[in-house]
Amino acid sequence: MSEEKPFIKNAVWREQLESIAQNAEPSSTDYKKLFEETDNFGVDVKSIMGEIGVQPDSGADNTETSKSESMDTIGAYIAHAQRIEDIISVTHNPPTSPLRRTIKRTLLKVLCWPTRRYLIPQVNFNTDIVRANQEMLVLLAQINKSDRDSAEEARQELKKANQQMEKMRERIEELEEKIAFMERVASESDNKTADAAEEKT
Amino acid sequence: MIYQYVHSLKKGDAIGNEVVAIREYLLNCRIDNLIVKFAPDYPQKGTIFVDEFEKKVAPGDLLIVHYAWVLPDVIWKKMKAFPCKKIMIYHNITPGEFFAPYDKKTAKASAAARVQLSEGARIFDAAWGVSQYNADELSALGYKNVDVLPLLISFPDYQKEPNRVLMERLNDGYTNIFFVGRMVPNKCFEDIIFAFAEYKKQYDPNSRLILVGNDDLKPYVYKLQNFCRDQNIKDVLFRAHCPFSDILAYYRSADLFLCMSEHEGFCVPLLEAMVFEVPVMAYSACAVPDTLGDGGICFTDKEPSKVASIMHALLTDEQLKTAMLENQKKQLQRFDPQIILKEMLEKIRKYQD
Repeated sequence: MSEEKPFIKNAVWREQLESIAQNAEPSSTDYKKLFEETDNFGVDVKSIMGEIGVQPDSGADNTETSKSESMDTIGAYIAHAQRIEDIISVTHNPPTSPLRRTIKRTLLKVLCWPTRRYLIPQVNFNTDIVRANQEMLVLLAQINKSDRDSAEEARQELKKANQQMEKMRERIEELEEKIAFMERVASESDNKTADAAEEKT
Repeated sequence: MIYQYVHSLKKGDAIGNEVVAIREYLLNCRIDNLIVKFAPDYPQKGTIFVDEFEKKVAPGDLLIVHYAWVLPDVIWKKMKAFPCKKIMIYHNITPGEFFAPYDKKTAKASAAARVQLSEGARIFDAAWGVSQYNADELSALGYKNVDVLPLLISFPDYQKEPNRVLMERLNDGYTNIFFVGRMVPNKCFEDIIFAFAEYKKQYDPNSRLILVGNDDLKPYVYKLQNFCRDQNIKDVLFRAHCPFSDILAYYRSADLFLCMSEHEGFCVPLLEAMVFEVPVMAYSACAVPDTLGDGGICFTDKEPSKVASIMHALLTDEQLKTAMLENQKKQLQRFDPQIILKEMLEKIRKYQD
């Protein structure tokens, strides 16, 4: 009978931690399988950005990609898409019914086998563009979100500023009232002093 | 005269640091030594190219070869003919099968390096592995006078100024899980992501995974990034080619260092994490248990939920963390460069005429 291998290798930590690991609920997600199914396609945006003379993303955190960096990245994607636009025109199909397209594709695959040699790289290029488009959409969504957030922030700031101005206006009015009162008191006192002087003379 | 051969002397690279440290130590001991290199790289005092070395080398000299990847045939074929004693310092070679799905050329080069390594048993007078694991590999290949000489770590470098702005951004209340290393398949970045995804889901939604390293192997890196996007795993930060001050900032902001690598000849980042008093968890493979010792948790199974449960325990149990940091101090003492250099000099003297 074989003994189960302990999860914790160091004896010094095993007593305290082994039961925690052994009692952990197995994960419901098959990460390994999902990873195997993931494609390894990507566009080397940084090198394209370098080629077209824009600064590669220097952000220290990918969750905080700034607007300008996103725009630069989009610029690189556009350059990338332009570079392969000739290929798109070759594989472009006019709008037609899906059935006709399927028949056409099947015929091409079966009958025109040499054509497949050219179709496969073209399909790869198209996947390339689809992926680039997806990335662009994500970046545009980020920009829009960042714009919306900025607008909301500005609105809040404006509201605060208005409130402060309102308070200041009230304060100014109060002070003006006080000044007017004090001027009135001063002028009354002046008048009284003048009257008293007149009476004396 | 002692010569150290290194194929390419790279600034900040673990092997490059070791070569320079050995040169400086030998100079302090008033022993003449030079670095021999094949590829032109950053200027370093006391370096010569191979053709000059071939003219200078004499029977009383000693050649130390730092072996970590396949050497050009033009050098390897001459190796046996050099009229001096030869010692290999073996840093290990990543097996080609890790690269095969992504980069056939690298996989082929790795296989060629393994062939060279087996031939080396007939060329070298002694061979030192930077870990017991490496030394065992050399013994199995029939090398004579095999010994262990731990890798020299440049500890003072870690006291340099970190990127404070980046540190401020990272200290935002999120739990920072960190790993640094070349983004290559043997380091199993995907397994780190799986464990992180499970940890984030089950224990701490406000956590972030920071993955730093050279990203030249694009198909592998794209696959990792596509996986995070497709599976909606948020807050995974990929950084490549970042300055040293940024790496220092990541270490200083890290709450946990997680290593899932399946092939390591030494694994310097484990010790780096200890220098920054970051709790360490690492999968038990190759030299990892030896380098880690009891300075971290070494585990034998990559099941994401099990790894996540231990991550949670380590991140929430202060007593456990304190005990681990104590053990890390002891473990770091094993890798004191001055002690290692002294040992090395004693070993070298046996082969010097």
